[in-house]
Amino acid sequence: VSEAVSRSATSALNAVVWVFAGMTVLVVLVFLITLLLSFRHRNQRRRARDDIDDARRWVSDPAGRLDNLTVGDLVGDPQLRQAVLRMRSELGRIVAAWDATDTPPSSSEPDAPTPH
Amino acid sequence: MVPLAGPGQADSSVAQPHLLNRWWLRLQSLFVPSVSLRTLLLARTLPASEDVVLQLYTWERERLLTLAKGMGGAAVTVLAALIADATQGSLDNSNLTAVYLAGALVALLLVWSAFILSGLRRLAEQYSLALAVVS
Repeated sequence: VSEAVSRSATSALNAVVWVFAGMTVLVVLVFLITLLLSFRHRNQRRRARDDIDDARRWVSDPAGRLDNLTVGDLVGDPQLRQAVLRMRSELGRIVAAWDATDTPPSSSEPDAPTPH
Repeated sequence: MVPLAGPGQADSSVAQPHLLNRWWLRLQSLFVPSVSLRTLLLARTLPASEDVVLQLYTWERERLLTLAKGMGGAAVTVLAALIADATQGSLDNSNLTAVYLAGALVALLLVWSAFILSGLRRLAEQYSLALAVVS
């Protein structure tokens, strides 16, 4: 009996080790995909910086530029940080209006005065 | 030229970010603090926006700490399974590859956990910047 128990425990352990081996492959895949997507995100961040002074273009960008940017991007990019700090009132107003109506702003809408 | 939606036209691609972007946001949050700029800009419009930012970063810190601790715990579990496997004497050529891969998983999980914990210092930099955005 003890031999049978020992054999089944051994096979269970082997199964667990195989599961962990499969997880290793998954984790490596997650690392690689994240690395590739981070390169892509870096390009997007550069494009966001290129037309930094057009807040409306940012918000109505089909790629969801504002959704992609995090505070970490601002910490890592001084130019982007300065631009966002400069435009924060306008960006906040547009995002709030967008969030309230769930409709992206159109390019033909006149700018409302910035609230103080 | 970036296409813009006309008046009254809701471009569905604006409301739904690109699939790769969504993947990026999800994966990014497994490694580093990821408070979105849009959330901060929305917080600007709320009363007591500084409290909102504090809450956001408190959640973020707890999330990352839990994640790092979970990774460490998972690494210990894998290691315990490997030690048990070795003491049972079941290591043979048939599962040697699996054992090596599982051993690599221990290292990967520990490195991942360490990366998250070392990245927590960024929270302080981000928090002060977030306060500047909502001020």
